[in-house]
Amino acid sequence: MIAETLERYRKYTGEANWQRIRHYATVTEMWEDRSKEYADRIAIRDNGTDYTFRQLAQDVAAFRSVLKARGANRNRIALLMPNSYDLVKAFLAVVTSGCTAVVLPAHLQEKEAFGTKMMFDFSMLVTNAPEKGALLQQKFPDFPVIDPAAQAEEPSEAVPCEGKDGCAIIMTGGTTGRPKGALLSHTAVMQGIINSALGVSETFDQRYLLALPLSHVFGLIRNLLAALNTGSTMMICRDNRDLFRDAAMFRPTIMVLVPALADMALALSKKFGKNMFGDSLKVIICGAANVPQYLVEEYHKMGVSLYPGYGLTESANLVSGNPENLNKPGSVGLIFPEMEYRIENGELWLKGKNMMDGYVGVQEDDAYEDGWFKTGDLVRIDEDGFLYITGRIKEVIVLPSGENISPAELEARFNCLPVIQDSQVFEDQDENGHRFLALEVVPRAAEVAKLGSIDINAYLIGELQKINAGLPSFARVSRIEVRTSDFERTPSMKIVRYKKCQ
Amino acid sequence: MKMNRNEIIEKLKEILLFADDSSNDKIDSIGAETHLQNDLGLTSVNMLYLIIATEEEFGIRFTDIGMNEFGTVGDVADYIERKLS
Repeated sequence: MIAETLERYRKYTGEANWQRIRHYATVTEMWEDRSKEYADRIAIRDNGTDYTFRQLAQDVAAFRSVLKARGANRNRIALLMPNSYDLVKAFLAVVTSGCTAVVLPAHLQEKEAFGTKMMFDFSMLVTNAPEKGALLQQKFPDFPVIDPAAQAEEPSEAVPCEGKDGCAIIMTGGTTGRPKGALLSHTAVMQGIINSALGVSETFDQRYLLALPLSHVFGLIRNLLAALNTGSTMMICRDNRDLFRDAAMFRPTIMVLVPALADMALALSKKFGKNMFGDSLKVIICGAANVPQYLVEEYHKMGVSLYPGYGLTESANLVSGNPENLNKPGSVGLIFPEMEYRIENGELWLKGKNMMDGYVGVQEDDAYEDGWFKTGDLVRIDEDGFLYITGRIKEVIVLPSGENISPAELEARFNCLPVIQDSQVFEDQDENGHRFLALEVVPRAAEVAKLGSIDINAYLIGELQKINAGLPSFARVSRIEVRTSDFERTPSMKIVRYKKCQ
Repeated sequence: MKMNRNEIIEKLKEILLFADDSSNDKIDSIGAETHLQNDLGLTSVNMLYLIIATEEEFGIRFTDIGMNEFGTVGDVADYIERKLS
């Protein structure tokens, strides 16, 4: 199926915005055009300095000369540094030199930097921490390790390229959890940028406050590149501890956040009785993990529209976004126009301009079938075309009765209670080996506090049992436990799932 | 703002009630020796919350210390006491 959502997105985006969207063939073309169009505006604010689009374009052109002098020629160039103006400049310089940017997570150390060279075969490394390139230089004498502050006397012109050429390699755990890189072409990244402009009226001329790493597609495409394409200003928050001080000074109109950060900001806003991001904030684009309905509703009360979305590194970020967040709070929205999709045994399969050209650094033949990328996500689409994520294939529990249970689908039901922060449904077994479904929940402390001096445990279990009773009988949990601490989490804040019945 | 150590810890408990996703009982029993990660299971995002809320509540800045350098509630209280004096 092809998602025929163009006209609906046009309506949500608004005609004035719609007319300003341009379908560039490459990121290079986009940058060349937009940097002239918005030359006098501030593109980036970092570390107390404002850089206009003109200044950034000049610095990018000068850094292209630095790269050229060190051998940049349609090869791969790795970037290893924290979010900064220098990273923005280096990324644009690499891409507009006709090279592919390997954007590495800033926390990688010397040995890991060497490991990624073996995986992604890059020809030079740009880093503000030269010691991280030491092992590389020891093993490969003359390997170029470049300081992002290096200067050149003359600028270099952008090198034209085609849509099919590589633009970026972004690291991901992918659908199997093994680290690898997704190779995104200019066409894919450009489609990701265009999708970023759809579905909300707050699109052009915005003020973005960057709180996510640029080594992740959500930060790189939905935040940085979306901002540059729309004449918006992006302030870089260098330290998340300064997030709200930066917000008070910068007054962002839009933020791109993962649910954990949005939830934390909400708790602080409630505690101190004010929107901690400031009153200018109108929109939060939220994704990269399951977005609880609670966040949509609570932010709405503060006058902020929080839009859940769904995307993957492999799809250059966005697959769907939810412009009807209040009417469909549990949905991740409408699939973006012209994305091809199929639902096979409940699993979402994708094709389209925004899809990667494949993984780099690892052989994963089973990621595709008949040319379709298999997301590993279980979904359903309602009668209005809205997409719902119901679970992950690998997490499906097959009950002794043969019935399939998607834990995420059940958890979403229990998580509807505002007093529940998180939950996990899993299969356990008793001493006789009989298997059964169990539920553990983590209460939301701020909501628990409102309940006063009642028996919290009994109250929670009572509320959860009411939901349980409404489930199909085979899907009901037989044991409910209220935890006193959070679940174990992965580094990306996802819950580590129990495996009690292997 | 002049506060004694007990008052500081009481304020911290109030903040932790929002930061930590656990029940009231556990927060009530918090003392100076309670370990932030081992006892309360605070995640990195919870720690960020704790730092920001503490700065807001006490009007101080955590300028010269990393988030992971605090072990216990008492460590945080010591730091605040130093900053306030």
